[in-house]
Amino acid sequence: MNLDTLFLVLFFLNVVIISLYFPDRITRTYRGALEKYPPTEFPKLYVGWPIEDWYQFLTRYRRITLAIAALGLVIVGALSFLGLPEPRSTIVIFCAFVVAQSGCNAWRVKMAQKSLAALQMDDISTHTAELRPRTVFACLSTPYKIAVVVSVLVCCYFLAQLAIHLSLGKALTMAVITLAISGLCVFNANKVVRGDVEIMQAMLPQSRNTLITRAVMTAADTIVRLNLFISVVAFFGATGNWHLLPAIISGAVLANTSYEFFRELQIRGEDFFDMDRFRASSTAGLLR
Amino acid sequence: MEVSIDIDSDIPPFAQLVKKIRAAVESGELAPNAPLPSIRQLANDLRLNHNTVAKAYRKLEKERIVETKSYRGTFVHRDALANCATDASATAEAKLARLISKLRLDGLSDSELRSAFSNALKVT
Repeated sequence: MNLDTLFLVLFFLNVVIISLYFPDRITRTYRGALEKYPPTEFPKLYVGWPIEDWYQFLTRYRRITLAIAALGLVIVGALSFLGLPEPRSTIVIFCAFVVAQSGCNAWRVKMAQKSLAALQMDDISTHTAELRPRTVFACLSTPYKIAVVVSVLVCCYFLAQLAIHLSLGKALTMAVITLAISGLCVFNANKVVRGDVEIMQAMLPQSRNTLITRAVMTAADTIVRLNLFISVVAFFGATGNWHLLPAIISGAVLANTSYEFFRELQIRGEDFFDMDRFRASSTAGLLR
Repeated sequence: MEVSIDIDSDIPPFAQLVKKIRAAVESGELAPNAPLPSIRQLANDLRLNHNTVAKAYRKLEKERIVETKSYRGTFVHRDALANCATDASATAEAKLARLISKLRLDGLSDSELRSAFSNALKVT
């Protein structure tokens, strides 16, 4: 299989898995949760976000992902029929498609967060907190800390190689992008650690800690994956093998996004919320 | 160690927080020099205004039950347990009671005492 065919296969898999398979699973998971916690039994879950809005949102999300999948299949078809342009243009076309996919996903996550923030919590009169300070570093296990440091060093090494062998400008641009995304990860993790996320206030203290640990580990995980990805791109750039990049980038995006979706599907509401709080006649919050 | 605040209680949240931290120190759940959460973290977790938690910390700091070490955060005071025994409010009440008895002996009525107390508060 030559590199162009490999890229087209990976692009096709990207369309099928990220725009068809996972949205279908996500939608089924959401629908399953709505059926498990109906408004008749759990009215407080739907105060700021009625169940009709949920179904409308899921239908809209499914339609958008189908439209993106159709667009992706048209692009793959056109590229296989007309042949691939030079590597840089191929990467631009692929990245533009990934931006559309990610935008749709970001919209879904944002809407889900908005709906969670609208949960009725004001009838809970007892608020509980731990008398223990939390820091980003304390929430991170030693292997994660080592992984972050090693990945940063590896990334710095390959960016330096890129700067020496190809272009300082390209190396700096990639360094700035890496720093910006890493900074955003740290900023978000720190926000969760400080408890500065509205939805955390509906959680039990132990669930709050689980969420914080997961959020910090996800941030560290993202930084490691980003550094390794940038290292690979810098390595192939420095060795003058730009023609390998479309296949590598499409493979990396497919693996990374699948991993993100898979991890999201493992998270369940029951892990974080005392669902009895949202029942019609709940006094769970008042009793604690 | 957890702390709970009942926002529907007649006792103000800041007073509840002071009481809970003081009780935790007295019971030994919070050891001397133990770190306490930042104002922001505690306020977010308890869904309280940051100023409410800051006020509670300030009161505990005045009573030398907690201490703030510049940028390192807030810690339980090394002499917190001993300082807990000295209840500032109870001490103030006892001193005022002694003063009021003395002033009554001097012939002042309750309304004159109230007025004098109110004026003195305004002046200081």
